Amino acid sequence: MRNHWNNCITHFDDDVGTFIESFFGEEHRRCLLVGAAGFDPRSQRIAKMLSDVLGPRLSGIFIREERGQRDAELLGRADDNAAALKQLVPDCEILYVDVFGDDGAAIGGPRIAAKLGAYSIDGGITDIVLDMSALSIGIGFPAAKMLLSDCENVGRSFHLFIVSNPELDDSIVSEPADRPMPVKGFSGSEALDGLLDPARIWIPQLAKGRKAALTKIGLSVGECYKICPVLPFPARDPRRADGLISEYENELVNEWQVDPRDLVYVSERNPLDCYRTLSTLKQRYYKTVNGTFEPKIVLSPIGSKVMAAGALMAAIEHNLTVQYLETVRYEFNAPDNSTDKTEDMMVHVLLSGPAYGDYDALLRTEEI
Amino acid sequence: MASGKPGAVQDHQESTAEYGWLQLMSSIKYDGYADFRAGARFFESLATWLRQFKQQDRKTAYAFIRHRLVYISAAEMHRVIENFVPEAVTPFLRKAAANEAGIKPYEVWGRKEGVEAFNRVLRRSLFIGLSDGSRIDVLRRANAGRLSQEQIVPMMNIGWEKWDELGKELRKEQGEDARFDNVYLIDDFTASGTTFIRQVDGEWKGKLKKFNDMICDARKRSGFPIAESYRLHIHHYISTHQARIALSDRVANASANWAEKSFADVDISEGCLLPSSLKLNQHDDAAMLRLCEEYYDDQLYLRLKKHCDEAGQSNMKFGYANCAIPLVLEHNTPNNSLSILWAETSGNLGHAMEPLFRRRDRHG
Amino acid sequence: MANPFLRRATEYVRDDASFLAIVSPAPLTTFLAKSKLKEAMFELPVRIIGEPGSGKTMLATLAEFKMVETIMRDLSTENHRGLATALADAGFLQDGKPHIAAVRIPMESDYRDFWELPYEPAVKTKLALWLVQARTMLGLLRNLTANRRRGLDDIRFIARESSEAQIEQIGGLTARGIRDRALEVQKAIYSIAAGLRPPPIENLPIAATSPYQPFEAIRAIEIEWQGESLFLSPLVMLDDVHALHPDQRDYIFSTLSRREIRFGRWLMMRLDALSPGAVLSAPGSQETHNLTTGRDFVDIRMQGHSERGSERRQFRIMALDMAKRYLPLVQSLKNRNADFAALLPGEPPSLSPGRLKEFSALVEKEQVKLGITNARRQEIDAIVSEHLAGSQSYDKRLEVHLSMARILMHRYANRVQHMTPSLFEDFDPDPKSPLKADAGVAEAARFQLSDAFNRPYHYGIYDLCDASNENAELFLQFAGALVARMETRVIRGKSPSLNASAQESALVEKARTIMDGWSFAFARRVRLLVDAIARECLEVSRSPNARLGAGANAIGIPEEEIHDLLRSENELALVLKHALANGAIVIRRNYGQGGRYWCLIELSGIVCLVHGLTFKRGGFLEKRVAYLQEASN
Repeated sequence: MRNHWNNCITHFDDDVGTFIESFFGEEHRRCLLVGAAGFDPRSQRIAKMLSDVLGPRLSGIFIREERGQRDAELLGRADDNAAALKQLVPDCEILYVDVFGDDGAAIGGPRIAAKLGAYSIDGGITDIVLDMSALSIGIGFPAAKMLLSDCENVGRSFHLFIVSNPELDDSIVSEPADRPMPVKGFSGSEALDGLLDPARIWIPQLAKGRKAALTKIGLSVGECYKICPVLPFPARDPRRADGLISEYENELVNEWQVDPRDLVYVSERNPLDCYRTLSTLKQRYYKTVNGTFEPKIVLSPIGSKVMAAGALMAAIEHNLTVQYLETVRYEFNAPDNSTDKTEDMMVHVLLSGPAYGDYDALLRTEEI
Repeated sequence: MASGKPGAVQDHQESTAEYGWLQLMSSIKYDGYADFRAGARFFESLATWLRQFKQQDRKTAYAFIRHRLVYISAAEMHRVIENFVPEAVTPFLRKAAANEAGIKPYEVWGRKEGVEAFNRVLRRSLFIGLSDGSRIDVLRRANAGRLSQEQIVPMMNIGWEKWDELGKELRKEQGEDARFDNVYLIDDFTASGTTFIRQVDGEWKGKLKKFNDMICDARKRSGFPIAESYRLHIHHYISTHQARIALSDRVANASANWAEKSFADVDISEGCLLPSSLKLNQHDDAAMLRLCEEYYDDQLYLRLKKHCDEAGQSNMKFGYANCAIPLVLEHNTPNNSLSILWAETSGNLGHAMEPLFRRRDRHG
Repeated sequence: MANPFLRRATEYVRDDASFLAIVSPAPLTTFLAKSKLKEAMFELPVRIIGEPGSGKTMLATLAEFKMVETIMRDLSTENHRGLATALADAGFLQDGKPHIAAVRIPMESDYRDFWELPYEPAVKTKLALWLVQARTMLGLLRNLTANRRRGLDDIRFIARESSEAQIEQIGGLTARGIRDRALEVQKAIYSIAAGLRPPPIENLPIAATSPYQPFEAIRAIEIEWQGESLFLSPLVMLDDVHALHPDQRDYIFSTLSRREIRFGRWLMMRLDALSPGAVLSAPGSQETHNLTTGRDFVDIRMQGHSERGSERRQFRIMALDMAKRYLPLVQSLKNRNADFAALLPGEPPSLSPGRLKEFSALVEKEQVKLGITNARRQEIDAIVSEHLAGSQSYDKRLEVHLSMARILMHRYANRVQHMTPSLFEDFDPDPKSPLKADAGVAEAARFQLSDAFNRPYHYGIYDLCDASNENAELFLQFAGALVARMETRVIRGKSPSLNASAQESALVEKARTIMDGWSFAFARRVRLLVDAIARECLEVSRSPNARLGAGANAIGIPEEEIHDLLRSENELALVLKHALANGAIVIRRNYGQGGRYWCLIELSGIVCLVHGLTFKRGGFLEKRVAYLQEASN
């Protein structure tokens, strides 16, 4: 029971920098940064901010997701990022993780779990930071769950950082694999036959250009009592949700037959909003079907990383299934340095640590 | 090969596609518009609205709806209201509590003195709704157990009895010295910042002025529950970029220049900030702006002359204060939106304007 | 209002009654009943290998006990009787009663993950198999109780002559005991693979390591059937075994080949035309661990497209039946009492009089240019008329006649071009091989009219079926697009039926939307490839003498080159595989023609629609692998 998650310490945009200076400025802090070293330009921002404050007190694990990428340009970008990260965090290790097995099956999850499991974290580390900005869901989610659990066991602080940019996301094309499956470590109770018949709710996050992937995932989830698509509002572009509704018209009306009242609106920039909304949904649903059906909630947070972070928290806290489709290839149409370039948004969430003290005991009767 | 399709067939294809979209958006959003009654819903309203335009202009008008309209539904509005406390209030109060307790802001939850300070600071915050749009009812429900009834007031005109009651309850819970250190003014929407604060011929007007004057007056009585140097927070659920800037400027100006200013500090926040690209402009929206010019009845200006003049505009073609925004809120369309969207006139001084989302006037 | 056609086809598979209405018993009869090894199918392990679309999963769903029971409980309909006959022929029934209790276990879920566990292969295999056994027992019980004819207490398990210990290990012989033990095993093993930190081998939970062998221990299941006691032989059908790692698959197969196992066990896998071992006679890379076919295991191959003609016919019947059931669900068309086929009339389009005149004049001009005498022209016209008179097609309009004549004129000119004109006679030699008007020429004629004049080409119920490449889901998507048009017409107060032009426009638009929406791996390269192939096919199809008859819609690569390509590390192999898997192309291996063997890469119905190519199969362009590389980049 992580009551403090309803009220996590979060910081946005400029406040993130202020927080880093203040918090990591404390001399006793030694931080391990886990992040991605791929082609995504957002890979370096957090590393830089932390490195500026922590200097030698910062160590790193940078993950390179290997998909057999033959695109020279993307490889070049990844190499550049990795080199830059090494400069920023000299005390670091690059972890190469195969996303696909020799038979083409998606095994990135088990692989990252094995590698992180084998990595022994220095006892002097006081804080672990997971930068999810450029990690794919199949790798980032299992990493988050493992690191969180480690930190909770020894009372270390665990932070999530995300640099997000919905407009940049739209310029990354993902070619999906064939077979949807649960993210490693997030099977929930999905494949367990129970005594009662299952009643399933699927909660897909609508994302631009991912219709084919979401439809496939939906088919793999199977029969659902209800489908509740997630849309971004408030959002930087007030029409973003409308655009997604238009793009998914066929799915909403014919394929999934969604009741308009079942649309879920969630903040584009605050992961806690998604977390709270999903938690409420889960509680209400379980209450409704209690004793009659086996409730099962399946999340598919394949779009914005910020909203996905909220889904991650909900999945961990409530043991929900996360169903996704691995990406075989990326194509990245890098935006040129025109004036139209949109700004990154930043968010920090402190998921666990001594900062929460004995939260439950100190809590007022209701959440603050 | 059927490549160059004859016009009729192409038309048919498009209409099938558009019909599907219209049905979907109507059921999700537009049919919920407060002014529609059963039988007269969006589809019918759209048909009537389009009919007022000449044949060759209808495409422009429809494209505007299809690609530019921003309609904020009740469901979306609720989210913004529900996010107010967790996102705008709690983080600030946490910092304030940290200050009081002499600890770091991120230590507040983990230490007894932090939690106590926070609870104190929270209880000593007052939330005031400035209009119906503040939806204090929704705010209350969303924060049941978190906020006390005695710190939420649904309207600005607070009489002395109410002040007295608020004060008594506060002192009962928090001690004789307790005062409200933070006051939140909450309203639903601002497009130009004008309703909230404006200067007309050197004279300050608007809700903030009214509020300030009321405080200055009320605090002459003893037992007034708001602290001397209270911090004022101005929060709109929906705000345009333009309004944010205007508010910042004018509030700073007022802060510096008001003879009697009740507050010590001010900050401004919003639930959903509409980008500056929302406003229609000549570069991207020339065709639609032309329609606004052409299909216009000056009767509209006359109806609202006083307010228009104050805003320094001589016609209402592009909405109040020439905001030229394509915004509709589920409970009503703001008059800052293009008047072609909401105005209903008889055509005395121009075109008989037919509304798509009719605006219910309070004062126009 | 939801359009039921635009909902994915899995819908109809879920509802048992609907499923039974459209399932075809053909695979049972064709592949199982006629197998020489029929007897052994429920005793030895069986490998069932089917191309996508061969109906493998449908077969497994049909054979499950609850479906069989539903059929046997109500033999009043001809449909059910037909299915029962097929089931009996395949060995699932005996004396008019169920003989086999079968359950389908999909292998697509977590089993592959087991192969990533940090244990020895033998251990990993054991864990996976025990989970399979646990789920099989739970699945069997679900099937046996599904129709509410009996409860758990009405089911009894019969053991092989084995030790008490083994029986105890599976939970006893009562249904309840077996169920509870299965749940326990399932939970324990599931948690090992589902978690992020697999326990060290010495810490594996007891429930996962203690012996559990229902496949060996159980010989039969006893239930009550119409007042009598009935003994059923258990059968587990592991579906989609190709989802496992190949090594894992081999280990499992080997383990399941143990003679002690009493359960029937089928391993069903999809093998598309590009998988190793797809070409007949070589089961390919499937290692057989010193096991002999026929003695230790049975191999059954379900071919997808061997009997093309009959497959197409079969599909049309099924598709129409589906459409018939879906149409009443469309609100706006509900009260029309319409027959789906009637709403898509096959009435041929016609060129406007102006266009016809234009075309006629054009043909005259070409006649002159080619130096064809009037007498020869008349003879050609007569050949064409004779063909059209006897043709079964409905499209015999004047423009088709003209177009055919034009083609034959060009053919004539080609055939006599090497002959020297005489100084004394009119040059009107007989061609060495006589001119003939056949279906190919007629089809080419219609294609050319479509290409040149936008005369509708693809319309009518059969074209709709052919566009779907025997894929039920795709059929429903196309039908859905047509129905959407019909609905709009009804809203506008018109009659819902669509003429040829409207039909084609809807189909092409839908096809284009599908293609534009392709977003699978290598989709971009696939798109480049099929567009390039289509362009070349169009060129050839446009040749005035229609040298490939109806036209081309495929390329052929020498079979050896493809063989080599598939074994290489070349990304091109992946491009082809994904193109095949996602319905952009259809592959036919080992196609013999002209003394050589080709791998045919045929453009799918969707691609043909978008580019206006014929659906008729047969015409292909000869190419090499290098062409594929170039065209897809």
